[in-house]
Amino acid sequence: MRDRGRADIWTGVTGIAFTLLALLLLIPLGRLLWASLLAEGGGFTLKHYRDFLAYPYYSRTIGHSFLVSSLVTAAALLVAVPVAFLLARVQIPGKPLLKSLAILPLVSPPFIGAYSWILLFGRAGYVTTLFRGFGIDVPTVYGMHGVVLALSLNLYPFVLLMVAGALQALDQSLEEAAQGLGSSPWRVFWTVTVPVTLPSILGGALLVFLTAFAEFGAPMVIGEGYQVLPTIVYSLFVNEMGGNPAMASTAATLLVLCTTGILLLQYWAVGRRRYSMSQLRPIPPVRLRPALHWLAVGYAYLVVGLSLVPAIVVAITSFFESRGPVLYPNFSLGNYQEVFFNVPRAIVNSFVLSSVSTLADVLLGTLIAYLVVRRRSTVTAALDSTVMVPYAIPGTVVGVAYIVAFNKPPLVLTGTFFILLLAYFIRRLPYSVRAGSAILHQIDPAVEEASISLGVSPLRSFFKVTARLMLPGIVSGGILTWVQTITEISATVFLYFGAWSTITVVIYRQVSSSNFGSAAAASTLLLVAVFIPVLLVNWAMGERAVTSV
Amino acid sequence: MRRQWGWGSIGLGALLVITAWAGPGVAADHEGQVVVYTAAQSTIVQAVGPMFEKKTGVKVQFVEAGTGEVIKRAQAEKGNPLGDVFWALAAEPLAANADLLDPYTVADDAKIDAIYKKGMAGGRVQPNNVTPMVIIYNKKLVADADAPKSWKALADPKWKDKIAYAAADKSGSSYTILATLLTVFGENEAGWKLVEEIMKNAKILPSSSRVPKGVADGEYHAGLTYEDAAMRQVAGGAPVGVVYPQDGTSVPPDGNGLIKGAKHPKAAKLFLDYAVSKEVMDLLADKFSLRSARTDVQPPKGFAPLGQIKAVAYDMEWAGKNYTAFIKKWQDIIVRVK
Repeated sequence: MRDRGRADIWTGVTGIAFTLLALLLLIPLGRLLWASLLAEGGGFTLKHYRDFLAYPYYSRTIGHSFLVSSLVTAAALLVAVPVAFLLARVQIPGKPLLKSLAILPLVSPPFIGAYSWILLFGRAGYVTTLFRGFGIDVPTVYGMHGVVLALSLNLYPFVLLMVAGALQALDQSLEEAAQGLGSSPWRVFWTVTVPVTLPSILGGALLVFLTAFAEFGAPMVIGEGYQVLPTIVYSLFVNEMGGNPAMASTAATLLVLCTTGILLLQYWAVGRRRYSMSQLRPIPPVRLRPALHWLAVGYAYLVVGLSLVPAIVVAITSFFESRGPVLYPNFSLGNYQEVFFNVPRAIVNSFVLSSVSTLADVLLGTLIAYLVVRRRSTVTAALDSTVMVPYAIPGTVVGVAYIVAFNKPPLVLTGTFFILLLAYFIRRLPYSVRAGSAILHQIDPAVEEASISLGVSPLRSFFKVTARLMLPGIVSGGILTWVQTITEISATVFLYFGAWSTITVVIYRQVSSSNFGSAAAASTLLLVAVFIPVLLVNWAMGERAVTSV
Repeated sequence: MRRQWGWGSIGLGALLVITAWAGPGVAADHEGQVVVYTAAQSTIVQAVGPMFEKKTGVKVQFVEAGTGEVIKRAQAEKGNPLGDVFWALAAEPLAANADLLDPYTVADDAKIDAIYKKGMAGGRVQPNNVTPMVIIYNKKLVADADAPKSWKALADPKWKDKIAYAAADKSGSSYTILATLLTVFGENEAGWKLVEEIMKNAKILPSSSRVPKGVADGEYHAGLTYEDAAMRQVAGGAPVGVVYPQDGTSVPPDGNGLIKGAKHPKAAKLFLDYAVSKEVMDLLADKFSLRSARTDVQPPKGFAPLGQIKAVAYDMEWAGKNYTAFIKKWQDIIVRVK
């Protein structure tokens, strides 16, 4: 039906996408990663890889990373999939609020969010001390299990968002047909609903796995010496004494190889199962029997509530009195006075930068998603995995690579806000692509083909038909992108300049100056500033907004 | 008409901007602005920045990050430096990256204690403040009499899992502590053995700021840290005590430096002079618990006079030269004991 070899507007889009990726990703980062293959005297060598793998201090972190990411992904799925079903299918009071609250865990900057767990469950934590009073020894949060706990409650919204979006896009007729043919509701669920949403479940799981794999904040804060690959990359790169650049490149390359491998695995897994439908009538939420109803409501609120613990702790702490680095539980607005001078400007900066780069991400990401799903070929498969590379690269590495690449002619961007925009754009592009392609997997291409065969141009058909059907997925991808951009710190700290300091830089500096009170105040302001627009979007979209959270 | 007015106002505006920008630069002998890369605490930056602007008429822009990040940034920008000055970075890594620096002698050089000018890359790094390495302990968990009085005491198995130490490969000050331990114990098998015993007892944290914080919060009984971070906890009223180890400690400086190829070298020098002026150093001692490298500034309230602290002959050049080897050995120890 479709002529795959035909050169149309999409060929042009592919070209543009590849050019942008080459300019903003492959060239800046390629050189950095290339260094891992160069011998000291010149020529190629695998010596650095042998050294890395032969040295247990480094090599054991690969296993740690796989273990942590797998456990986090499993936990996130377990927690989020049921909530997503409840949100999409069951009448729950306060849904828009709940949906908006569920995104907040993603906003809490990891270096302060994870610290909340220590405040509660550390050796001298509030909860630990409380239970000790009753003679109960609660295990402390430190180590691998603490990292898994913090990360799964931090990252489950990825799954929640994508699965809820997919369920919302499910057409009523599909399940009705199955039921009409005499299938029990259980059977309908397992043979229709689950397979159709599986791409989104896997897509969300992939985001969780990859984010957990590249995350160094939580392992740094509560790992207490439990190191993962990204913490090694970080310490090799940001080494005050110069250190070993080749080893740093090697570690970073291994990180990229691992994540690209996982990505290809997922690509292969989803590629075999494709279901599509034309969504015309979304399924209305049902009201459950009272007992079940309250169980469902309780579960949904419990999960969201638990994941908000770090944010709540941060918000409470922000009203504590600070004397230097020491906090006292007396009500005070001192922390807010402390940050009042630089926070408003920094928040405006963060809003402007993340909004502009998110718009660009959504536009290009949606187009790429379309190419990847609808124009499957070796070329677009290559595009798909290239787009995901930034996901795997620690921000630190991106920051350093961008300075090296854009601090000399022909393109001098350092010292301007533009370099931040580009770094954000490329780092968060994967969210839009993943969200877009997940939803596209469920949309029947026939509608668009009909439009084209009626003489409407392919690009116009895309925007008029497919993009509209994709809208829920695009919005949810956009919110994810925006929220993840506004909390970016690891590349920002290398690229920000002068007046373009962001709110995360302010928080980060307060934390490293041990001013936890002021850091908490700035974080709380960030949480509020992000929460309000998300809530507005959810309310504006009404029931459709299940998709947007 | 309207359009002409529009262009005119743009022209006038541009003229005003240019005059305003060039204004102070014409009269004074500097470039009118300076870009400062700093690891100083945000509160210090917010206090000193406006004072400097008022005093000199130079507009100052700060880029704040940790010592490691600041240096990495400057390394990456080497071909086209964007910063003019390093301010209050750990001196040891700064000296190890002397190729990023131009030499400069501050106006008040005579007032800076000569002890701190050793190992400073031949004057490329200028001492700012100094900070002895200390042991901090939590008074609720450890009675004063039982507090570890020396580095060596931390090797006692009774401290197993109770002391905090920042990873030496992540934190510059933590590396200085490691090199200090080796100076005290001796850089030999016996010395490394003691280091290993301490590491067996220690919980390894990712950043130096976590050590005093964790001890103050009661997460750890004691920790290896540096004086001003510990004393800020004391000043804030946290239940902690500070021990200057009886077996001797190092007193390394934080340093400043003029970035090679700085775009605003004259303003940069003004800042370097101002940073170590008596005015600023008095303020840092009074308000921010920082001990000055100047001989004419009193130590902050509650700080022991340097004469009462047993100092060891700590060789910064030796520590810098052996960085890779020592870190490798330290990492091997961590693999063995963790």
